[in-house]
Amino acid sequence: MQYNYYTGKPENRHPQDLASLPRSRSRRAEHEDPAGYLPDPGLVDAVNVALLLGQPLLLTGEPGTGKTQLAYSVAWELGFDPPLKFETKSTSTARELFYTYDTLSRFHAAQIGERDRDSLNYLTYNALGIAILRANEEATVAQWLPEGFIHGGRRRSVVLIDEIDKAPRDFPNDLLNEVEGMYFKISELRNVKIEAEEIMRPILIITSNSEKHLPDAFLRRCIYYNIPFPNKDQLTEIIETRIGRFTGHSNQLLIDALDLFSTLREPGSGLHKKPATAELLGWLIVLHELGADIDNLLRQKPELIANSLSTLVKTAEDQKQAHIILKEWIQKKKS
Amino acid sequence: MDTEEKIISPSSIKPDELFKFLDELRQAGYKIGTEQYIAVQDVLIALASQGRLPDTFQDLYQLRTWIAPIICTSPEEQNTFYERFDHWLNQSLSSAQKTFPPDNEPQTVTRGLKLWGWIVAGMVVLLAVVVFTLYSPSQLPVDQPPPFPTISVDGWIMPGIIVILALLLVSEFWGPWQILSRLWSILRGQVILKKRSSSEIPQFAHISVRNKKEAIFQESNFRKISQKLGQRREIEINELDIPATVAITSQKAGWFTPVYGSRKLVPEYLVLVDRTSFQDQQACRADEIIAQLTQNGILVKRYYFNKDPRYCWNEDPKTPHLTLQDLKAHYPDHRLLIFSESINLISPLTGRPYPWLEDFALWSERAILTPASPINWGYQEQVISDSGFLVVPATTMGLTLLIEKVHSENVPEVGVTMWWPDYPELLKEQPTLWLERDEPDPEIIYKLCSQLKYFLGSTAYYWLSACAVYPMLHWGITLYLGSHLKGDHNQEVLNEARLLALTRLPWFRYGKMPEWLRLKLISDLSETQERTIRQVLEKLLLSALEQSQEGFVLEIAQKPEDQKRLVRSFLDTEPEDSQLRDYVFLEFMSGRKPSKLVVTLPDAIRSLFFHDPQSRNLFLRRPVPLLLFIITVFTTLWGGTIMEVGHPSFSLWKGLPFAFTILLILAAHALGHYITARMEGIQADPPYFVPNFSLSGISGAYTKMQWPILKRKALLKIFTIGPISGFCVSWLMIIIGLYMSKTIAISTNEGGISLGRSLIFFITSRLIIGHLPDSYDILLHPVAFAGWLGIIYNCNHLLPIGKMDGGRIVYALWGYRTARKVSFISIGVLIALGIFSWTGWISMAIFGIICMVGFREQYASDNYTDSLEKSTLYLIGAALIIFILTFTPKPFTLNF
Repeated sequence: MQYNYYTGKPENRHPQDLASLPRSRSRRAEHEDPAGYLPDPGLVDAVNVALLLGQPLLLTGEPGTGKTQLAYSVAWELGFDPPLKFETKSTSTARELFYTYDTLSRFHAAQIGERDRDSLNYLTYNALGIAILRANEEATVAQWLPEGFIHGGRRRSVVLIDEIDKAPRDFPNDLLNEVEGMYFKISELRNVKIEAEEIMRPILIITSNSEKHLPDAFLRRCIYYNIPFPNKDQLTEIIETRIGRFTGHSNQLLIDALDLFSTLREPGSGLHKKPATAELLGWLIVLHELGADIDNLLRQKPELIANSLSTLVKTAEDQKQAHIILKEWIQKKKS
Repeated sequence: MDTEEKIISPSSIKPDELFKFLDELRQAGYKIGTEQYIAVQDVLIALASQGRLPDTFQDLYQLRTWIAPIICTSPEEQNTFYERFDHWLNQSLSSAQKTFPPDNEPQTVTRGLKLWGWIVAGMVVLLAVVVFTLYSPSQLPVDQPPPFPTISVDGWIMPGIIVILALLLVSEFWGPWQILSRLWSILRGQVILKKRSSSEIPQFAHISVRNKKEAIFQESNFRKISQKLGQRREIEINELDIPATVAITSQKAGWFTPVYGSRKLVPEYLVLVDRTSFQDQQACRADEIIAQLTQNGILVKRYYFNKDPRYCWNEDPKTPHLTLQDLKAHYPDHRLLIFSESINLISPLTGRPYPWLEDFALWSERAILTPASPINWGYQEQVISDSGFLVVPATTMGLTLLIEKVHSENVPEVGVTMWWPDYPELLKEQPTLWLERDEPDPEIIYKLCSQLKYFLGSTAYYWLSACAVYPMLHWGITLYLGSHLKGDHNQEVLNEARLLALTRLPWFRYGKMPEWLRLKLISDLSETQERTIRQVLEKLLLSALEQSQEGFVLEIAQKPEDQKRLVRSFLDTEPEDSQLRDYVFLEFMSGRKPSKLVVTLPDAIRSLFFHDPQSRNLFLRRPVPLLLFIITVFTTLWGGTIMEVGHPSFSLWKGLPFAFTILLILAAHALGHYITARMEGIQADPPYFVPNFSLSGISGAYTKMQWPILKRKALLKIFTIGPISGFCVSWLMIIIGLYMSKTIAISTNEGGISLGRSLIFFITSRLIIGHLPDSYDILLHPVAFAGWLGIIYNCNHLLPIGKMDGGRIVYALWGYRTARKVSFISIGVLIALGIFSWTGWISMAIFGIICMVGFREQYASDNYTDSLEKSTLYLIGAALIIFILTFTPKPFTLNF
């Protein structure tokens, strides 16, 4: 079987009807369903310690080990709303974690003499700011809410600060006090201080690709866990919960697929970017789409692997190397 | 605190101990503050309030994943934390003598195995009954002419015990073994360290020697430099600077003129270090500078390159290299520092900088730190400087110049610096030539040395010669020698300029020095100088005994035999430059005077170097087993003599055949346990022989091991191989002994002992001596008698009772509960045998009951769950067969 959605031939055009394409987006969403998330046992304890001590949880680990997803899983299991996510950028400042103030519009409004001079309406609350506001009764913070802000009642929330290592060095340092006390001040509103209620403190989960860029003082205030890359058994389990098709530990396709996957991940493989779990999942789906048989060994279909390898290894220079590794692997398996 | 203590104490791990463990971690470099201690305590209290405090082994083990997130701040720490925690837990558990509740691991013991076990047990019982009925009536009296000397048992036992106890006590406090070991080491000759080439990668002993951090640089200097280097710099951002915008807008009469703001950012540095080899000491020096900067809070990212800075590697050479584009993408705004000889950047063909030097213009701020002294700078430095690099010396002064540049934007003038001679002409042209093993002409060597002496100065030349004394060049040793030797005017040899000059030399860059040069340099030393250097080195080696964390590790190779596994692992990680590589080898040398090229090893640290110190000095390290062995030799000789002569006598040599054989058999049994245990990585003492003053002179041998043994396979191996090897030796001795035995006619009136026969004894004697008529019997030779005793001994140990070998095997197979049941059944059977067949079994049953004491405490779990291999099953089968073959229902009867 081949992909035949697009063939490059004019005669295959669908003149009237629209071609039916696979539901790729929803399938991806299905993979990210928190119900299917399988945390590392150490990670479970780390989360509990963080909850117990009320300290932020800092997660590091290779891409694809499920750092970001943990926040969704925690929020889901504790019955909270989905986490409030703050995506760190290289220009992020600590203030942006709480709110941004549109100075330019405010200035402009003042210039042209618009009537709307309420500072509040130029204020946008961000992830941790929203979480702290929600940790208070609506009535207590109502005066600080801009128009259209939906408070939705007092509750706890999970806040996810994604990839904090992208931010400038000062970012984590500037956060220390605010995160510890769970408060922030709005200088534009005469330095009003908004503080989370003690029992409603937001749960903070921070991810980072490497802990090296983070200052010691920050590391010390966090509960730290490095998610190790899953081993074969864990991978099998993850695959089972994520894509149910490949059930059974001993299915031939999966054994070979995991073997090739670990070969590609070996330290000496020479790949710049090692494939991670997400790539593996994607690859398995593609294999399935391409008609790989669950009960047959993958090594018998080298062309199938070669065709789908681009889902596993994504950079151009790595692909060459990956094909060489694949050839060696097939030869080794055959002998 | 109080309540907590109460709850935790059942687990025998007290919070105090846990905090001691945290203290240890802190000393090991973990960043643990008061908050962490409090957090750990909070977690414990929280667990206690939920009633989930650890009181089982498994729970304690789980505690690590609760504590690790609080303590660790990096993946490495996380990994080592788990190891350290396990180590600590095992230690404190063994000291607390804890009983282990069952393991929570999933049970994988299969039903089949259990069934099989019962079948086997049934067969054993059946066979025992068959053997019993078959052989007990047909006992033939073995003639033993001398009457059994019962007096020896009664008369000697009390004083004997007292003497043994006294000797044990004495030997624990004052060891004659110390004198013996000293004597032994003299006999063995000197141990030396010597450079040797090997195409195979040998096995290494790693010893860590203590060495306080050498102060190469003045720390106060660095603090100042770091402060300046770390000063924030302003960068423009696309955010409005409101006050400025307002000011300008109002200046322009309300015309909106946005002004973008700026932000102060901490500067970061990208450092590229030229590293020609893994032992490149010039790179080590650069690393030292970087370490100093990082310690003072400067953000540094370091990469290495080999001559060509366009291709860089990080610390791990196996990762793919990075190109300039990669680096630019990762570190666009960093300040670039390159540690390199300027000659690397100059094309030898054109004399101009390589065209690619232009590519470094990607970084606006860039500098070259060259090891050459500014006084000798010339055209090369000029052209590099023209291409936009700042050229500064790779010294603290160079860093100061760098700061000036950073803060004032002017190219700083390199002021007057200390005079230093130019790099030796001979070395300039082809540095690698001087690494060759083949000795050049003496004239050239002479020329080289005089140029070196001129370049380095007499003090640094002395330092160079000192470095040549140790067989290999090593950064740690270079520094150590530098700080412990005194040059002219009693000054410390180590200083920045000398170190810089020394590390420029090709031997230090490639990390090896040919033997001809070493010999030349050492012979240039005066006798006192050489003695001082050797003493200083000895002191360094001795510091390995202190086992402190500070310092560095020396790799010392041992003979490259039978270490295939290690060879492989090393081959994978070490880059192979050539087939033949040099290592520092450990060698023995006796009698001769050591050559100049070797370093003698202090006696005291000899034990550190052996892969397995205990197996080398088997008895010397443990006085009690040795002493017991000596006593046992005496008692067995005594017993053997009585048997031979018929009455107590001091012509002990007559007892030699018996004594030797019985000791050999028991040693085979005990060493079977001991060696297997050691091979399985379990701490064990050499066998303790238990002497007695009866006829046999020996009661047994006992091997003390460190419990619990966590692997079933190990347990099974240890306790099957012991009896198997004991049996093999016994059987061999029976065969030999039977060949030497005589057959004699027996007169029924004479008293003596008739020995019972096991299957194996029966078969063997039939095969060797043949069928005997009724009135004849075998007069056993002492060797055969010892073999017979050995067989009985082995068989008794295979009884499936408590802490005996058989009991252990049953335990390992089916867990504690079954083992206990089987033990009691077996004791019951023994008592029954004692009543109906032979009273001696009663004493065996009593011994069995003693063996039940503390049976359970030694195990980690009630059931082992690791699966069994075929080879282990074979061993169990062999032990079973041996038990059947050697079981003697009625060991002996006295006939009067």
